[in-house]
Amino acid sequence: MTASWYESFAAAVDREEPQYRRCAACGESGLPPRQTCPTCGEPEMIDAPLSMSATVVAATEIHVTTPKFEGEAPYTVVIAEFDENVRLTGQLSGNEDVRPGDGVTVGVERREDWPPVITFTPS
Amino acid sequence: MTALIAGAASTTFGKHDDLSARELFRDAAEAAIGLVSLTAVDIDAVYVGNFMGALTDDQGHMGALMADYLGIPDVPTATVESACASSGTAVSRAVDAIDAGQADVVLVGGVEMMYATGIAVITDALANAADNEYENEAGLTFPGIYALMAREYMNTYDVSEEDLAQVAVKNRRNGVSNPISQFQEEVTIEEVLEARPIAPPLGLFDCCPITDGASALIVVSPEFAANHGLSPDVRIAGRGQAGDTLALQDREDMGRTRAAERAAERAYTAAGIVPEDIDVCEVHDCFTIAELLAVESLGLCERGEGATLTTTGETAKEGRIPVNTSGGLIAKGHPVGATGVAQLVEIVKQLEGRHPNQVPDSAIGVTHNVGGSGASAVVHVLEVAG
Repeated sequence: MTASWYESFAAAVDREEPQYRRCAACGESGLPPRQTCPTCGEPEMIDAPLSMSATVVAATEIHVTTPKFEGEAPYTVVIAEFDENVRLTGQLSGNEDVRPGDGVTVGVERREDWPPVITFTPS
Repeated sequence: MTALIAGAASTTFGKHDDLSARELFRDAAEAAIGLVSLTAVDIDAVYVGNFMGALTDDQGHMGALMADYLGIPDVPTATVESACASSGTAVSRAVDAIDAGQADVVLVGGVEMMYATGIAVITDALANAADNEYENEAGLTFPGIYALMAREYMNTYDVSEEDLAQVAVKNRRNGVSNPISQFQEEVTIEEVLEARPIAPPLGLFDCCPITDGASALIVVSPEFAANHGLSPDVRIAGRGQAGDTLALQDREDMGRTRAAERAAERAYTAAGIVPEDIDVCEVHDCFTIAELLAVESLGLCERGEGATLTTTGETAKEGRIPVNTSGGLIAKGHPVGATGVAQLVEIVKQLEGRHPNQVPDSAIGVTHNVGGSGASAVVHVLEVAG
């Protein structure tokens, strides 16, 4: 069963209208379903639009994986940073190599009977 | 804080497919009890670290199960779960119980049965320590998480894959003479670098193995020891616990384990020591990169200097500050729920002067036990009781 907040987050990315959460008091960034600010404790974080493009922070190629992704390895997982001071984890689409500092665009890959997979495509 | 460690034992680590979790835990517990002139009926409480029993053994409720099979079903028990820091955290609960006057004799241990279910199930089970939606659904694995930490660290500091490999070479060398160690053969730098990739820059020998094992301690109050003619050699002089965000993506610097830094500060403050006082350490080297982050978190060197500390031989068993004389998780093995207590067992042996890789005149030892990618950490300072 996929958490409904995750479905909503992925659906917004799919619509090219991704959302993050911003603290109403101190402006700290977070991702749904975070409601309490991890920095100042303010109990209200509000939805705000997130860019589609981000910058690669780190990447690795997964060779040994869980039963679910077996048969797909090796594939690359990336942590990328958005201008809004949010970092997100996703799978790299395509066969291009990425390095820290490279630009990527966030997306979603949907497969039958699977929760959505957050992806990054080199831009 | 004055809890004393009266007994400490581990089973051999490796493959125990002829035993169940309750049998393996009993072996460790009976060995620890046997080191003290006590019997199981003297035990006031049982805390058991276990992480994946519900998946590997279809068995939860390990605390109650273990007490039952030790013949003391009536004592208070709990299973303590904090991923790979489960039994380190359980030790702190044991000390809490003694400090609060709720118990005089606590059995605290851990057990994990990982071999029988195979690597794919274990990779899946370990992933439960990560953020399910933000990490696992993207196909990230635990070696993958530490690979990303290594990439950020190596991007910040001048550290090579050869530097990481030196950690595996050192710990595998230490494992050779440890009779409980899963791996008792050395590896060369070339073998580490040429091993099959798991999640680059981490190859097979940069990763700890999957392991069956159990460890146990008998922790007693000073009053109980005095009234029963016990004179344990080792006391728990300080402990510290701290946390961090669960998902790696929520940390500003992925090449740093802040929870372990905070836990170490708290443990050192409680014990009244500084890092220069430490004679020997057991740290959570689930991957080679993790040992570099560990020695920096413990203040054994400046940030970014962990690799130099290793490559110059300072953390070798004959070095200035020996780290993982047991072989660490990389050689000794990593039965997840047992690891934290297993680290204390090794330090007790050092402080009692009976370790197979004995560091001369060890008086102060430290354990560093980390859950997940660093969302939980627990550090203990052990001292020769005097």
